[in-house]
Amino acid sequence: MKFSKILYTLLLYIITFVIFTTFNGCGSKDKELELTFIDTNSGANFQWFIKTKVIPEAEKTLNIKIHYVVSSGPEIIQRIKTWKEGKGDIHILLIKPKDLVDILSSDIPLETLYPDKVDRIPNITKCLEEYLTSVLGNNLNGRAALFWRSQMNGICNGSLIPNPPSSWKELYERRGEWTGHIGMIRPDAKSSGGRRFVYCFLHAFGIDFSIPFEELKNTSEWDDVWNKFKELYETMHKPLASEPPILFNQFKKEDVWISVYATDYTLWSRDKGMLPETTKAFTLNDGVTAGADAYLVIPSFILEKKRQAAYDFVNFLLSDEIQLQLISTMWQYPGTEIWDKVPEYVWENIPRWEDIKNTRIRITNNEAFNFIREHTMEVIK
Amino acid sequence: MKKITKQSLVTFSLLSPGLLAIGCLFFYPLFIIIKNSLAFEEEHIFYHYIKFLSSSNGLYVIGLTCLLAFGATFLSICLSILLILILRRKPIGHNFFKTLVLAPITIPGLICALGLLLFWDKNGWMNLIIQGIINRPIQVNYTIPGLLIFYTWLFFPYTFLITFSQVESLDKSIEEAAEVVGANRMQVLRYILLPLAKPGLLAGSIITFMLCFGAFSVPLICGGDYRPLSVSIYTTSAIYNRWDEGSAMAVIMALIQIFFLISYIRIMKRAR
Repeated sequence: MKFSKILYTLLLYIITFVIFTTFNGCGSKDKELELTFIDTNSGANFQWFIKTKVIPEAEKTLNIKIHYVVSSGPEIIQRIKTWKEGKGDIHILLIKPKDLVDILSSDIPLETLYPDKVDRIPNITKCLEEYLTSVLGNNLNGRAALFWRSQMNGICNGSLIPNPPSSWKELYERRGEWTGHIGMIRPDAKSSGGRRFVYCFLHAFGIDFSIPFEELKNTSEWDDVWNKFKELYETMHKPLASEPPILFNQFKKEDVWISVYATDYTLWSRDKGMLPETTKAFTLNDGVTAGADAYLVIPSFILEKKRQAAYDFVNFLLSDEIQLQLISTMWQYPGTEIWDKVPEYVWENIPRWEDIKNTRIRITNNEAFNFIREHTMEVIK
Repeated sequence: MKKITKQSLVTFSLLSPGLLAIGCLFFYPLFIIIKNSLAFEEEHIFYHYIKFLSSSNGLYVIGLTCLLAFGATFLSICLSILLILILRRKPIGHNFFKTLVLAPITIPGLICALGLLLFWDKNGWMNLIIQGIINRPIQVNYTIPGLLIFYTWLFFPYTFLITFSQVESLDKSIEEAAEVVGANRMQVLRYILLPLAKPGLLAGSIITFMLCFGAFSVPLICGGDYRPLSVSIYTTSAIYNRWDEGSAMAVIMALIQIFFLISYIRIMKRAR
């Protein structure tokens, strides 16, 4: 048989298969309810988790079809703004606090989940009320549910650093022990890890970010703390990592022993073999920035039957089963208060929530944060 | 004045959808970038251009980009000539080797960059071999020589492929004639082969040069503190959110590339 004939036959089989599966799919559409779940928060690790673990389990449990789509916050907000009553085609959103504030300020109608829908979403009562009533200082009034809490922490190779520092000040004072092995991502990288590192360091050494930046940068403390940071930089591994995978690779090669970065992504990457097995997270009690917490919202302008299914899906996402998976396999702090159910081995890898909850820093001075982003590399040279 | 004929109108109307598509898809985005780069609010409309070109960092970045592009193009030409001399004699497995040479083109740049970092790392394969000879690892990653090696590895296939096809098409009897009149191998290479292969070499190297000039993934991942124009544009636009400055830098980059392209074409014309 000629090669072209084989190719032709193969092509015919493929076309038949595609047509068959398409029509088969169309047929089944009428049978089950479909929801569109838009994710504007997750990184690579959580996209994988939601797509391969959460969605299949939810579809099986709730008997609905869920279309999981990754998108960006500002784009989705623009889309929702154009909706009319009952015409909305996004049924659940997973968003960052900053995007949630933008939604609230743009008057996009959202379903009030707490306390109005406690009977449909009983698991929402496991979220702390303070997270349901306000977000970044704005009134939330129960219009979102907290899915997870993200946190940066100290990261170290436990076999090389059995007693990691308990504060930024201790990290600075003991820097000589780890000369050439302290890692950081460039502050001008796409990842904000490096910028947050510098922000936390400045904060720990007494920089008051509540002062307007124009005033702050002229204070003597500002210069003093930057000099301290330069001293720390002298002991860092160089060149600084351009993006997180490079930092992970530096850990893997044991060039870097200690750093400060997102707990969940680092430990997930460790489990994938990208960092040494002995990598663990530790807390710095003078404060580390919170990551992007994840909120679940249901826009109001959707069909009633879809809205009911969306409530069920939110309840499923806040169930102990999913929330425990968040912390025990993805190393992310859950949105609900289920600490007594968390397996003990988790705390051997990440700090306990009670140890970090009062030291979480929010970035409030955007001008200072922009300065760190644009000028750190010049200042430290 | 030339008269507009019915024929020319028909031709224009047939061409207009194509011209419109080119205008929308190519010139409009280009126009947006140029418009973004102009500072209408500042006292000088070319404020961003002046700011970048008058800063020491701006000139350093342009210099670094040119150094990397020229260096890697030169190395690509040398490597291509060497490989062509070996492969045109058709040794065993030459077809397999030719396919292997194409590998860098087929692999995404980001994967190449990470692979190269691992390969040249102090615990990488190359350094394991080198340590067996000189007892210490050599620092290649995050250095300018390292970037030159990485650029060459990634972009030399373009020079190689075009030059190789040019050399393959040469009449072997010309070389034989030179050998008959007493020319040795080096003389054949210098006076016969290279001049005849020059158009192919120039055409291939210009593609390599342009790709080296605009390289992004490799210097982003493997450059360390050496960040050429493409990475600086990305950082300024996407990280600092200063799209106007980034656009000005992009226009400067395009102008430099056009300048080198025109120079190259002139050299090529002379070579012919």
